[in-house]
Amino acid sequence: MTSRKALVPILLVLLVGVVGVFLWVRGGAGPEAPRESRKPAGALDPTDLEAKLRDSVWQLRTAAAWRLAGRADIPIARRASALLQVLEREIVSPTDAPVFPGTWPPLTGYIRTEYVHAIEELGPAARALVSEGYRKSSGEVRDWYGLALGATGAPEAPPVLRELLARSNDPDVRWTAAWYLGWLKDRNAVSILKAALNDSATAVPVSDVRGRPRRPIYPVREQAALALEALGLTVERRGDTFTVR
Amino acid sequence: MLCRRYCRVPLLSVILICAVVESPPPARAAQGDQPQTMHGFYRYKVRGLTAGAGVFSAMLFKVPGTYAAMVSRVVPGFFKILSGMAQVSNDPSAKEMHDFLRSGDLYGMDYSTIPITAGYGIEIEFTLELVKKEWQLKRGSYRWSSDHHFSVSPGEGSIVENVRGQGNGALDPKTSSITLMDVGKKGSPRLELAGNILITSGFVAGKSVWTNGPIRWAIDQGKGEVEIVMGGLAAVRDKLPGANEPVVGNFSFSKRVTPGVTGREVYQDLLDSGVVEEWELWSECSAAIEIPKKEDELSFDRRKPGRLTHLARAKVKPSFWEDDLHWEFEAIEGSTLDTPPEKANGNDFPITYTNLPEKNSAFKFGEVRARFDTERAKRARCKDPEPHKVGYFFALTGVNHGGPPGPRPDRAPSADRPNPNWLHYWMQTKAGLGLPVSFVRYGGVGGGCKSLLGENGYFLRGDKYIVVCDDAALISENPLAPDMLLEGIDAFAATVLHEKMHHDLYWKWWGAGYGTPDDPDNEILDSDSDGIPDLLESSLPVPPQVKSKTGRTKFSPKYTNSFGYKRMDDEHYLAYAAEFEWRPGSAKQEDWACPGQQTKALCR
Repeated sequence: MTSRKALVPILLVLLVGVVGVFLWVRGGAGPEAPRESRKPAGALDPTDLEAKLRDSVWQLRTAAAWRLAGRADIPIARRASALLQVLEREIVSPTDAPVFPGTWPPLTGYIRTEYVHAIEELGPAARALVSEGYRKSSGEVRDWYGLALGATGAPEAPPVLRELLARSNDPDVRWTAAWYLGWLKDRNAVSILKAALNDSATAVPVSDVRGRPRRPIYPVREQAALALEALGLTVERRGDTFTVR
Repeated sequence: MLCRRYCRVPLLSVILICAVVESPPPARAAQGDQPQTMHGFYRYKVRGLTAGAGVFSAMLFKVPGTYAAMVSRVVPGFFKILSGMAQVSNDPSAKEMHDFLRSGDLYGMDYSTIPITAGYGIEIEFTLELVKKEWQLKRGSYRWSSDHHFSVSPGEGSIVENVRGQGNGALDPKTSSITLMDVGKKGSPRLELAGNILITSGFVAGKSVWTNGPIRWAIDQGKGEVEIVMGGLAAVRDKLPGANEPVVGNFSFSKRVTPGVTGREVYQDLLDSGVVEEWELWSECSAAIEIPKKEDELSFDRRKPGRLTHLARAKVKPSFWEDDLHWEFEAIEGSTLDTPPEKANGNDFPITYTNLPEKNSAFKFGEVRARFDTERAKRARCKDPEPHKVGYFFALTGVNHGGPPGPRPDRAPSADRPNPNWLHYWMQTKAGLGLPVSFVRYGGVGGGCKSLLGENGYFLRGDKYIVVCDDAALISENPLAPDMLLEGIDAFAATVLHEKMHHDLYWKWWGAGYGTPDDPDNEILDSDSDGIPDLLESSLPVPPQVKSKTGRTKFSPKYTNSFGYKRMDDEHYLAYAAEFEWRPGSAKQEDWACPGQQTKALCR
């Protein structure tokens, strides 16, 4: 075989080798290969979602908060931070808009509880960030951080929640605290919950069913009663009075 | 001008005249128009002495006349120009030049009085191609015809001539040339079309007879024979050279051209014969529709009657083909198009649809088409543009649909505005859930809807219908699915389901007589004020979303909000759960609102 003829198979081998190396590297067999993302198909970029948390339309902010909470492909710290920030913004600048049918004003109370419930989706992994926020904050913001602690199921949450139920001036804080005390099955909260059966806060749900009698309700009392039932107690109601049997 | 070989003198004279008047200097080729081929035609017609084709009249009049014209007109005329005693424009047309030369005849000759009735015409069609930056003849054809009649009777003699000729053939680039050159200055192009074609086919027939006393001289041009008869006896009978052979000759022309513009000149030439020249040059043409754009979203406006106006504009290359375009626009049932098909010609004009249709199904995606519709455009093989797909939509919040006003709540004043477009059209889609129009009524401000955001609709106890408000066309949130927001037609469908649930529950319970006159506010029967009769609550199905979050499996008559997870009353858990019956996006293809689910950008 001449030297020229020998070149052909040599070149072929080289070509195959180069292609093979290329495919091997691209196929991710090496240590640098990225993990497959769990981002849902068609999902927004995290930056876009976070931008929607600043939208002027509250429905878009709330929807974005829930979508962000459910995005397992985004690190929990980032999600928790974004949700806590939108909660803080809602506290500092409450939304002033009509409530939707079925709920009662103020709308900001509904929105804040939605953000707290969204933090629930993050689970215990968000506790550290929420605890830190609770320690560093004050006033109304601290109260809602306390509720967020409950949402994460943090062990230090129940005493915070009990304190909020007993002392907070905001009915929505007390209402949400009662919910989480029942959710966390805090047996130490029974006496506080029983006391909340006499809570004075009232609300009149807005309805799109016109002509229906609109009577005030006692949302904190109801929530406390539900929490007591979650703890295994039986609650009776006569009119607007709740008693534990 | 063409003739047999023995008639080359008149031909030569005409060529000489043409050459003197209009010979273009050599120059650079026409600058790059993108096309690589151009098409054109040239026509020449002359009637008068110039077209004379008879042998005797040529000897007696045409030849001497030609030389006389040169001496008395051409030479003095050019002398005047050169000496500055007369001026013609820098770029004289044939008419201008001939008129000038004829104006100063030294002998006062009028050749039109010579009794020759003759005509000649030639038409040349050709295709030029760009070869190394020069436009050259690629192919072509010619067709010519001539007629001649001359009759005089001087003294005892007479001359009678009747000759006809015609021919046609293909142009051979090896023997004929047609070129297009830019002979202008830089920045000021001037295109000259110059042709020198070899005629190789055609025949002449007819006789020229000169009788003078006993002598008769007859030339039969058709047979190519000459006969001289003296005293009744044929003294000479012979075949002429070139007899029975096709007519051969050259024809030249030179004109300044503007592609796409038909040139025409009418004048009297140096021999006072009437001349008509016509020519045109064009390149292969094409067009692309510019407006409306592909996938354009065309929307009716909010006026009454509603109108949809858009331009019909195409980029046509070269632009002179614009008038050859014919457009086709979609018909929208129930709407009137102002441009009937027979007038949809040309380029860059507005078209308007007036009146919105009554039916939602009249809106659609369609095509705007244009095509080159004239014979000359087809001859030039102009390429039709691609059609553009466009969508026809209605303005979402307009109140100018083509249907009836629509039912209003009984308490709405009659002067209040009729139902908006979105309600009228969406009720004809899946989003209307097959419900009668009378069941879903438009509230508006006068119909009980709140003036601020927050209410998509309502149900008034005792009504046999539901009411939807303007917000129903915009956005709809559902506390049971807070990560989902419905918009547009989906929000409307969800609102209808929500309010219908209130309606159905009412008529199932309270309207069916569940309440009693002794308990008008249902304080006994609905002690927790959640809209659900106490005795029925624990048997009602619980929405699965609520069950999974709270672990509670039943509604309770003790609580207005039996679950506590969401901040709302029990009846609304049922109403919001009813909205899940609607699959978002399922009415997308029926949604012709602008903005809507089938529009991508801002609607125009």
